[in-house]
Amino acid sequence: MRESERIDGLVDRHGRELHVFLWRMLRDDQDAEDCLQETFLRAFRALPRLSPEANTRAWLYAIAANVGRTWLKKRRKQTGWEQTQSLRRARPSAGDAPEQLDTLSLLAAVDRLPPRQREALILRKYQGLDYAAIAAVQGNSAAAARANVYQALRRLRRLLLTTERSGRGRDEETTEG
Amino acid sequence: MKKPPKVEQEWETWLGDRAGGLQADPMLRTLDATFGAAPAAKITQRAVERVRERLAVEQRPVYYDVLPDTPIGQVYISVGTEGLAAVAIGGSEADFLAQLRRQGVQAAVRSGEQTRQVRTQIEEYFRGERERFDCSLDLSQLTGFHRQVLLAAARIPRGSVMTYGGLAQTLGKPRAARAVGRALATNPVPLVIPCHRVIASDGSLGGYSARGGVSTKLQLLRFERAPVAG
Repeated sequence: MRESERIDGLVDRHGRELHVFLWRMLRDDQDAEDCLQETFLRAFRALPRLSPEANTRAWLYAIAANVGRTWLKKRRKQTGWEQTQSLRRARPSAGDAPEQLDTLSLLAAVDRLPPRQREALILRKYQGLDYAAIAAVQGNSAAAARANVYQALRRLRRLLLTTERSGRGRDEETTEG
Repeated sequence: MKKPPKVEQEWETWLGDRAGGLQADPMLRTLDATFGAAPAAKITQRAVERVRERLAVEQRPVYYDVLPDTPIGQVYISVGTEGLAAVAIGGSEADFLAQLRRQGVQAAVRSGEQTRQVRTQIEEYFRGERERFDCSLDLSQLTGFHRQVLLAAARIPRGSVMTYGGLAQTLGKPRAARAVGRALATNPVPLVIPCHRVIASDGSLGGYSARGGVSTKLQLLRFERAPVAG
């Protein structure tokens, strides 16, 4: 098959899910769009080197994850992006159900996760990849991929407990689960 | 293996790592509410559409042709969407195609029709009927300084020469003679951007990275009746 047909097939099969993944990672429409283009450009250029037996989906996710990681790093350097933009853009506070935490605190905590932990959590829970596939994306073992997911949750929990303690009595009470 | 704490058992269920019922943990609910949501379908659709457009641009063919019989041997040219992208002196067609691939060209199509404007001008130049080239160039791959050097070299008229230092001076960087030399050495369109008209300050020819090296450079300068020794 010619490479142009191969890449078109990959865009058809995986373009949507990769966009959703990048959108979840970056939480910004324009950034996700730019990163998706960069992902497929890199994939297209690397296609001749892709072994026919490779797991194409994991390979594409790996490229997307790389692109997203670099983007996040760059964005963090712009002063305070994560604290202001990311939180301002997601402002569902009025709709927060009582059995939920404050969305803004959660986003702030997620922004403080190491990129690979954030990535592993999103891949496992929201993109539906199993640990072997996440390992292929992150270039580690299934056990390490699993550990990344659980460490993400532990860390989030710790971060949120701290926020909750310092924020208690300020506005609304956080309901215990 | 020791049993994980209760909260982590709930995480296992939530992640689908083990069977179980509903979860009550507010952190998990908030995660679902925040990250479980997908972007609006039209946002995804637009992003995928942009990818297709970008890939189409990437895959546009580059046209090339060869002038088999010039005073300096074969001359190969390639023309992309933006204009003339590569000129190579000497070598084989396979060499030239390999060079294009190294520059990231995915599809090269030989076409006399699509390359006619540049080909005609080069033929006129070798017949002594053309003072300067007049065609659009695709220098999109080059960095700012590299491009500046080449565009400055493009203004040196037929029949004259300039030194590396002199060219650096016209760019307001009198100490950048070496950097100018390096930029000219990677001129993607020799001949059309006449980097052969730039010589060393002691009057020697300096270098020429096209095939044939300095002897091709000398041949071109003599042909143009430039004031050079040798």
